[in-house]
Amino acid sequence: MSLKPLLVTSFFGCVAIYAVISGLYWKHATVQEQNRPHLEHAETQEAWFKSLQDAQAGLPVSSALAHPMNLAVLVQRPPGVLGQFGYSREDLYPSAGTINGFSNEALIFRRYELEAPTALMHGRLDLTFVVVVLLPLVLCVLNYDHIARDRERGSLRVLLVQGVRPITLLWSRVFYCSLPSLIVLLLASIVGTLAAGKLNWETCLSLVWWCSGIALYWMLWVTLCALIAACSRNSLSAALSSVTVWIGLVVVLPALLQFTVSNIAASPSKVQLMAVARAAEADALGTLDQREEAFIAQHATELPQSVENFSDYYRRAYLSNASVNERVGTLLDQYQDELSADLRLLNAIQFVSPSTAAFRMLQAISGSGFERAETFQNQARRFFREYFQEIGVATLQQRRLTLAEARSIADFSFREPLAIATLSSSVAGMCVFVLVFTLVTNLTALRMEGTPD
Amino acid sequence: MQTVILEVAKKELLTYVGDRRFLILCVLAIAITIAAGLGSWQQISHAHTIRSDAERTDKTTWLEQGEANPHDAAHFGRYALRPVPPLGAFDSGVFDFAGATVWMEAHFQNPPANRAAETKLLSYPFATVTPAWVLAVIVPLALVTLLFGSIALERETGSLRVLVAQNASAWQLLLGKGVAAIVIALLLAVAMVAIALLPVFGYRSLDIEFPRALALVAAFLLGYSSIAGVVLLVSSCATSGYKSFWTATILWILMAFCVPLAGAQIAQDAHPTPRARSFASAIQQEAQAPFWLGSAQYEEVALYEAEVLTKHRAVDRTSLDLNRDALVLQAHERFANRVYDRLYGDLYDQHIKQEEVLRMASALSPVLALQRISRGICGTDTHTQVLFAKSAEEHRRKIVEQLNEDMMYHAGDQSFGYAANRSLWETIDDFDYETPSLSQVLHYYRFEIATLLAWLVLAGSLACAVLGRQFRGKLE
Amino acid sequence: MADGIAALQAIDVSKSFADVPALVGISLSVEPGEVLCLLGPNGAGKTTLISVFLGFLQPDSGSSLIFGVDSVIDPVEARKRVSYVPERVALYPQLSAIQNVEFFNSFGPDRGKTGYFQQCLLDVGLQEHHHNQKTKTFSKGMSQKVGLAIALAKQSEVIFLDEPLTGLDPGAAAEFVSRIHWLQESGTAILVATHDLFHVSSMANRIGLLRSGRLLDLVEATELGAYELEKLYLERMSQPS
Repeated sequence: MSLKPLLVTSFFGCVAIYAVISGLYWKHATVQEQNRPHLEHAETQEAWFKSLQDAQAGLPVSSALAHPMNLAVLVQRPPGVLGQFGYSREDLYPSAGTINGFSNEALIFRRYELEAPTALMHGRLDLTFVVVVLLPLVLCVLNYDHIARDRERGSLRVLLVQGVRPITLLWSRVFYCSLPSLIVLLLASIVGTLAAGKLNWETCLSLVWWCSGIALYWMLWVTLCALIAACSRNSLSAALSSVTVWIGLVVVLPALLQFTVSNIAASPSKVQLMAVARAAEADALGTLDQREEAFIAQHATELPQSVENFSDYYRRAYLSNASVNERVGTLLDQYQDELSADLRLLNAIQFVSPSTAAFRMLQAISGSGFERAETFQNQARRFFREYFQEIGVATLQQRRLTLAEARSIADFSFREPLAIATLSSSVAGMCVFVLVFTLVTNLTALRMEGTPD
Repeated sequence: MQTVILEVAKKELLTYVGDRRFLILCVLAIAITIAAGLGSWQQISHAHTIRSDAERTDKTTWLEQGEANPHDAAHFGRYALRPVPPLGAFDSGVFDFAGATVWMEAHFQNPPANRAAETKLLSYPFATVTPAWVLAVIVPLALVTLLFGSIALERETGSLRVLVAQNASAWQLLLGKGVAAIVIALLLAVAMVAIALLPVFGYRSLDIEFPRALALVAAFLLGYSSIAGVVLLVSSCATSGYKSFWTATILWILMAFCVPLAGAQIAQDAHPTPRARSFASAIQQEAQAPFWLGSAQYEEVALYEAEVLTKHRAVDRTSLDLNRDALVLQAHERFANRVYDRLYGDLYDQHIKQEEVLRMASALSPVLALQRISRGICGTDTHTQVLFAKSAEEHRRKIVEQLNEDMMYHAGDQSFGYAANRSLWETIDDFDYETPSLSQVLHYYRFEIATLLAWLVLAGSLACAVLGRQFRGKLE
Repeated sequence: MADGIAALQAIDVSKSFADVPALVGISLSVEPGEVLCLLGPNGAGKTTLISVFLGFLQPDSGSSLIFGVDSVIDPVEARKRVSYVPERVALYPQLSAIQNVEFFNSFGPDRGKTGYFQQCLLDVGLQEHHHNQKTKTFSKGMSQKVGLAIALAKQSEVIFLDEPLTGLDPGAAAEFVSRIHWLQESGTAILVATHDLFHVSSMANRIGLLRSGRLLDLVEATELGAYELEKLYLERMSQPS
């Protein structure tokens, strides 16, 4: 291998290793953070269950302790199976939420948003970035003038006369120069997975998917670089074409796609949600008596008939939050429907930008990005709705939950989404690109046999 | 001599006009700017409407909360809503990545929350298309394609030898080419800033400050001149056209993408922000528990009581009929505020330190320096965000104190049974925040401005020196 | 025009690139109104000598003088009295012939007017209807004429021509040679680097044979016919170095 490919590939390898190491560090820190005891609640879940057990054993326990409204559940989104490879903006999305009887749907994920905005805007250097943005650049730098330099020197004619087939010359040079970068990435991925912790079937399967995804994207760029190399007349035009293609596909097209999506599918404003929740909260306080009657009417069979029993603090808080949830929930459901439609639109139009498709594919495989974070929030909200219903009945009946009821309510675990639609549309799009580029490159190379210049 | 420079500039301009690549890039850049301008304006206008609605809702909710205990009202709280800067449509900067609201409640300081970026469907790296992005990232690329061959291709084709034989001097050539590039850059900057700000006429609710728009043009002109200087330097040093092109393009990639990303990476590694849960625990353990469960309350309340009595020249609490509960609540505010000053002070210090790292990084990249100045002028930078957060906190302290004092002086023995009404709620000021003035912004970003100037002077004089040396016997 | 000293003078000029000698102790002079052709194969050092005269290259030893001004010590002053037409005349393709001549002559103290530049173009034989055409459409011969017009417009006393006839068809070459004679008659000293044996006798007053950086012979063109020159050239080039 000559000096240029060696230097470029080595530098690329160093960046990939750095990205993997910093991803591993992030994953470790996130897991540690999620395992920390949650100190901001007066009554932790452990203490709550202890009080409930004591109460059921007949020991004297204050009525404020182990009250259904105080059953705090921490819902958490753990880092993805290969989350260390796609952690760039993971800190932007809520990864934990606190649920208790005093929460409402707008407040579940309220947290201290401490990250510096500049840091969030720039994101972090993760392996997904290295693959999607840097790999194409490296391939362009390594492959742009495989044929042009021979054309320029006139040696292409000599090579053809000597019996070399342009198609063989082109592909052998392209693969020879490009293969090391793929090997570097695959090795970095394998090492990054092994170093992250214990291997299981799920991790191994994700790793296979991840490596296949990288290989597909690599193949796409290899065929594209071969096409540029085959078509360019001289080194300068080859360089210009490579840079134009890189900027067009990796920078401008994804940017325009993102711009289009964000304008066509305007995402709901969190400020608007906050304002709705605020207005609902104020209304709920003002119309509490009516809410109370409405709730009693809906749950007539489950509640004691005496209305006087409900005039306590917990009941008021519960009813107030029920009212807020109803209004916020409607807005969130509406948002959810819009989001599903937007995602369908994105899956349909992402073909125009292979880098966006690859970016979303790698995020889906590694377990990171907006869609996974959104799935988590939906699961948490659904969980909250069931939870709220369950504790509502007990709160209004002025009784404690049974241990079995409490255990079944307090159990939340995040189910990894299967982003089949995203994956299939991304993979299909890239396969089409690979096939088209290969075909055109081969045709160009074949034509070169007749007209080398 | 001036005429020579103008002749060179004229010839360059004629060449640019005939350069298809450059023309295509310009047309593309202008088309993207128009689309970006319209899209950004729509988004900013939407954000502005939502903010106004939310502000109205908050005020109505506050005023119409009915009769309530003042301290309960302090818990009910108010929201400080970040103003939407009109020039955010030109450069959204960190706007979407920064919290838009601060909840101002009793006992707790909150950081800004509700970041718009959380709800964006796609988060592709470095891809927020705004007019500023086109101007700061794509136009420098146009300058690269325009200027990479200005010396290198002349050398390659041999025309440089003839020019030297015709007695052209290095600085005349460079200055002439530089002037041409700057004329193009100025035209582009003015045209594109104007295009980007054009939709303002469709959104009359957002007023653009004319001096800020002018400052933007000036900043971009300075930035482009520096970048043109760098490309001319590369072109002077490179031995062939394609080497010059690769070097200039790689430099552009470094300046536009790698330096900002690496700077942000180093900033986050060197000055990490605390994790939310650890921060919440720290608040619980340092601002809440020691006062409500520990021994800090006694001393703090005594101190505050003494201060109040001194202020009113009273001997004891009973003579003023002060409510003890309210006294304790306000004493806690004073106690907690000291903790918040430390915890949030450290937090915002980290933010500013991260900014400082990026500021240092901008010394390596005129593109980053230009982006930082642009964000500052548009009021969408981290500095403005931190000032907003601090201003909201000041306001929170003021309104909580006002409400607690009302309870302290008027509740008497009723304590939490005491209720105030709309007349008290009306005395609470609305949150009002002015973004830093243009002169403050320019002062804050003086390093970046100096950086751009330094790049211009350094690159220009180095290019002159290199080319001059070549003209004196090192042309081959 | 002549001020008593040689227009061009090389005194024991030597230059090597990474230990490979390109010029070895070259000494020659060209008087005003004289055409000196340096004849030699590729790599003989012809272009290197022109580069040294123009101050593009610093010789390892010796000096190169243009009207007594050392082009190493004061290249700017030395270049004031010279023009240069390279082998591949590099014109700006987006500019017309007249714009090219105007631009290349915008660096001197006395810049001419458009009419003057047009006359220069006419003098070198470029027809008027080509003057405002963009040079990207020009043939090699037409470009060469524009190159010569650029040199002519400077009104310099010395012109360097580097392989001026390469790539020209016989008609164009003959026309170009006649233009050189016309310049020579006006008192201009001309140094031509060429390997064109066919035209060199008709073009030059004196011929210098160059091989591997050494000036082997310096002969009067009138002394040799075309056949003798070819014989001498082949004989010199086949000698062991």
